[in-house]
Amino acid sequence: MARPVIEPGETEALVSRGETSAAWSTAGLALVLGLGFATRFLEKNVPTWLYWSWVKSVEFPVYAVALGLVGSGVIGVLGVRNKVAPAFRTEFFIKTGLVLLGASVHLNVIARAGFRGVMQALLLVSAVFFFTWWLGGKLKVRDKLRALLAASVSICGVSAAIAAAGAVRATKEQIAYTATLVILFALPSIFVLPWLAHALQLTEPVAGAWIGGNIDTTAAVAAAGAIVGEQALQIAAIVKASQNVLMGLVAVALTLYFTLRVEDADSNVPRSSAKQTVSALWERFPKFVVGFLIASAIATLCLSTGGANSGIAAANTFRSYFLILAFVSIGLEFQLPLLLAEGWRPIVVFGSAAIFNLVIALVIASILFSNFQV
Amino acid sequence: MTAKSKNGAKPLPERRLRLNEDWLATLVGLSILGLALLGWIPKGVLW
Repeated sequence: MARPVIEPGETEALVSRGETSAAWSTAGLALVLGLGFATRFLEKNVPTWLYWSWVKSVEFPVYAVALGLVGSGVIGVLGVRNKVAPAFRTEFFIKTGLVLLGASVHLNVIARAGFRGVMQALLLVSAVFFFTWWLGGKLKVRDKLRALLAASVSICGVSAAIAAAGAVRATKEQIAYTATLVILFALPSIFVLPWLAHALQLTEPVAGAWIGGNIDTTAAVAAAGAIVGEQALQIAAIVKASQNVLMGLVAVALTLYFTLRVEDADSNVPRSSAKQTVSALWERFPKFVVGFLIASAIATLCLSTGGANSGIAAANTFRSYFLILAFVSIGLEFQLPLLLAEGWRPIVVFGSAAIFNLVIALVIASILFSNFQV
Repeated sequence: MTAKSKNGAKPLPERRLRLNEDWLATLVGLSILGLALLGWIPKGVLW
C-alpha cells in the first residue's frame, strides 16, 4: 500500500497509527498512565521530602515532562516508538483538561476584577501577542509556530498554545516546541518575579497583577503570588483568570485570520461564497473551546446559587490528571532533532517576548493597581 | 502529522479524527464535571 506523503518535520507517529496493533496501543497507554501516576506521586511527596529546598515548589509539568523524556529515551532505545506512539494523545488529554479548566474560570471573575483586571488582561494580551507576532515575522519564524509562540507567551502558556494550534493547524512538533519553551521559562519565573517585586518595592496588589500578567501557567502564578503574600495571590489569580477567558477570543481571532488571510493567500482557489467561508471557519475552529465556555457557565451558575464547591474541587483534580497525562505525552513525543530543525529564532522570539511582557506588565500594573485594595 | 492528498487537501479520515477529538474531549470533560457536581465521583479516585 502506498504511504501518504509526509511534510518535512511531521511525525511518523500519526501516519503509522493505523499500522499498529491494539496490544501495542494498550502498552503505550499503560506507559502514559504509569508515568502519570509517578508524576502525581512525586508532586504529592517531594514537597514533604524536600520541604527545606526550592525543589518543593517544582510543579507537575516539570515532573511529567522529565519522566516523559526518560520514557522517550527508553522506547527509542527499544525501537518501539512508532508502535506505542498512537497512545500518546497529547491533544486529547490537554483539550479535556482545558474543558475542565473552564470550571475554575468563573465568568463573575470579570465582575469581581472590575475595570482594572479586564483592562490589564486586554492591554497586556494585545500588546504581547502583537509584539511576538511582529518579532516572529521579522525573524522569519513560520506563521503557525509564531501563532503558537504569540498565544502562549501572551495568554496562558501551553493551554493557549493548544487552542491556537487547533485554529492554525500546527504540527505536534510545533506544540511540543512551544510547550518546552513555556516550561523552561515558567520554572525560574516562580522565584525570580517575587524576588524582583521585593527588590522594586512593589505593593502587593501591583506585584500580584505583575505576576498574574507574566507567568504563563496558572499553577505557577498561584505559587509565585503566594510567595509575595495573600493580597498578591488574590490579584494574581484574578488577572490570570481574566487572561484565561481571553483564550477563547484569541482562538476565534486566529481561526478568522488563518482562514481568511494566511491560507487564502496560499490557495489558488478563491472561496465563492460566504457559506463556504463560514463552513471553513467552523471546520477549523477548536470545538473544545465550546466545552470550555459551557463548563465555565455551568460552574458560574452553580456557585452563584451557593454550593457545589466540592464538585468544582473534584473537577479540578481531574483537570490535573488530564494535564499530567498531556505533559507526559509531550515528553514521550519529544524528539530533539525535530526541535533543533526549528533553529534558534523561535527561542529568541520567545525570550524577547517574555522580557517585553515583564516590562509592559510592570507599567500597566503600576498604573492600574497602584491605589488598589483587595 | 498531516497526510496530504494530491491537491493538498486533507484526507477526510484525518479531518474526522481531529473533529472527533475536539468533541470527544468536550464530552468527556463535561461528563466529568457533571458527575463531580452531582457528587457521584468516589472519593478514592481523587488523589
